[in-house]
Amino acid sequence: MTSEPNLQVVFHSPADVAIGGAEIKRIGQEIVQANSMLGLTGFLVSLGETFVGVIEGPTSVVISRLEEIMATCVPQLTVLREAIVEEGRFVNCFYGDLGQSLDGRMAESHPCQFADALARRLSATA
Amino acid sequence: MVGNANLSRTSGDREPLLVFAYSSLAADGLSRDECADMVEQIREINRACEITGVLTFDDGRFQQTIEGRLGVMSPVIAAIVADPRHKRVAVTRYSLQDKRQFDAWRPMGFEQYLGQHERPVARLSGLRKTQAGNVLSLDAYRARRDQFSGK
Repeated sequence: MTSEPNLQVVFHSPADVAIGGAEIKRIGQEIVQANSMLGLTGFLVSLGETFVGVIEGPTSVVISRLEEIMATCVPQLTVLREAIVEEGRFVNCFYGDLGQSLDGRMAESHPCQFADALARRLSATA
Repeated sequence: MVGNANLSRTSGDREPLLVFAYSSLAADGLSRDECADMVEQIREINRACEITGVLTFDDGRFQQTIEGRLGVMSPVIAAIVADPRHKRVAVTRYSLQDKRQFDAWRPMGFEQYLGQHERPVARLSGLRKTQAGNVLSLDAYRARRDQFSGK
């Protein structure tokens, strides 16, 4: 049992544009499965070719995991919020996939709006 | 009460419908009155954003499913997961769907299971296929609360 403080990170990241929808879903599922096995909580959703997520857990585990994600499957990752939290907001690690059905404008704007809103709200209530 | 028109087919509504579901625990010290106020607040937001769904509160545990146009759901979902009035959030659904499942439920259905010493109200099972009137309105809930508390 670690006594490390919990780190909460809100991020979004454009997936590799060369990756197809099925591949994005597979990557998302693998990320969440690995996060869950490490005892991390939060959620990850893929919208078009973009991931939006919250990941939380012991600081060193979260940082290592984010580094691993960036090194292996999602090279471009933007952290919108990074904060030490007394208690995590989430108890599970969920993956949701909206697929590739979003039209171009929505696929671009929606993930960023969602990620921004998440970061702002979590910061405001911290 | 708004009619039963399918919001997902109304003009200007070409955005896909997003469904978001979660369960959570009430924050320590959240009173029943605060819970009722929160439901009222949620209803107002949902009404303004044409969000439909259902919320239950049982023994300190919330379960909510909401559905709405993709464009309006992001700030709502963000506000929900960050709301300090609940904790230990478990997201259980985030997906697109073609048609509303809770279209008849406006304002959003809400039922609070009462404590073991109080008279239980109808459970939610099967209510999705029934009329919105089967779900307690906030006024009805308050009346029941007052009745059971002897006011």
